[in-house]
Amino acid sequence: MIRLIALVSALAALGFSGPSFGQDERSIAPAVASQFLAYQDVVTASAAHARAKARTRAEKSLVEAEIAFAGDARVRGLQAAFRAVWADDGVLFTPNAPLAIGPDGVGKVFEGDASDVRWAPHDFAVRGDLGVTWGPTAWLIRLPDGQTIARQGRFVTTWKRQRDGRWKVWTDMGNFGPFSPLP
Amino acid sequence: VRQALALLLLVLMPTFAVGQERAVEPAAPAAEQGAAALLDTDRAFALEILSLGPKAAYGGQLAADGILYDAVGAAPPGQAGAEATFARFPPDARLRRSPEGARVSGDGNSGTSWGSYELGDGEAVVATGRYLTSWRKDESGVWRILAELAAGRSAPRSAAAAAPASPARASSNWSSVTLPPAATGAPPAP
Repeated sequence: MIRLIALVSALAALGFSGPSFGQDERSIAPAVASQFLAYQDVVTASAAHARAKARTRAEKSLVEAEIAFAGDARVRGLQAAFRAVWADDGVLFTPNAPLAIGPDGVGKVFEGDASDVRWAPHDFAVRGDLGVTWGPTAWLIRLPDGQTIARQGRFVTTWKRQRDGRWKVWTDMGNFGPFSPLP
Repeated sequence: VRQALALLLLVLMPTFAVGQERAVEPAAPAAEQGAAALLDTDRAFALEILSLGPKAAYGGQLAADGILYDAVGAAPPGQAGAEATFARFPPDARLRRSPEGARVSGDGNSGTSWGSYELGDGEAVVATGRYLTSWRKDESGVWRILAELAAGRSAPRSAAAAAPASPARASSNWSSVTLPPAATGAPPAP
């Protein structure tokens, strides 16, 4: 709870109250909607790039795990999706906020967060029981004043293969940046 | 025959016991040693950034296909990416990297480290935040950066250039907050 309060305070200081998923599209400026679609195009192209590059069974399973993770977030929301894929000792690094550890920790971070977020791996690496994915994110965010904005970001995620063969997130961090195509 | 079997059993028992001990021995000590070694590597890298400057230090540490997720995002892999990323830094920029932790894979050949950073321009701190770095060993056993992402906030004096933060996978990165939007192509703050 302390983490959540700290996070909410930090976000409030930034003027951010959390976006809402499935928001009324009529309230979104056409330019913002167009921007969000462009960011989604990058995400879609990245997924195709990663899938085409994956050769081994381990690489394919890692890429599909990341894509399934993102799909789960769209269907069940960020909180449920992050909880489901998080390792017991997985760490979410959030700038200027405490680390979130394990499914419960990351669940608190996303409590009540209904962001419309799309992401996909653009590239990856697998070695032994560790996998790394990185790629673009597309965000649709509603600001406290009701304005909706679109932002592009990037993430780097480390996955650890569990005893049952499934990949779970071990470390994860993302950022916001200006939009530009991935190589 | 029984005596021979008993003797054989006595001879084998210690071996069996050692084998059992090895089998149930947790991998944690080796993993901890590997993590400590990677953390040492990251600390040495932090010192190298201060002594050589980020462009030369990253250029020497990135894997040939290593990626820096900077504000522009189109930087090429490897040394060319470091050149492209840090060529935009002001001449007096000072990047202080403070490694905090590391983890390695079971085979000890790949891992991740994290910590905080502080970007200064002369005496002023213009941005702070966290970084997450994915590493792997090359053929010579040297740790190389495979992917790195930094995320944080600008200091108050340049807060107007910062992008909004969100609970996860979102915050402005150090590149985007350290240079004027016109230089990076960064969108204006909402």
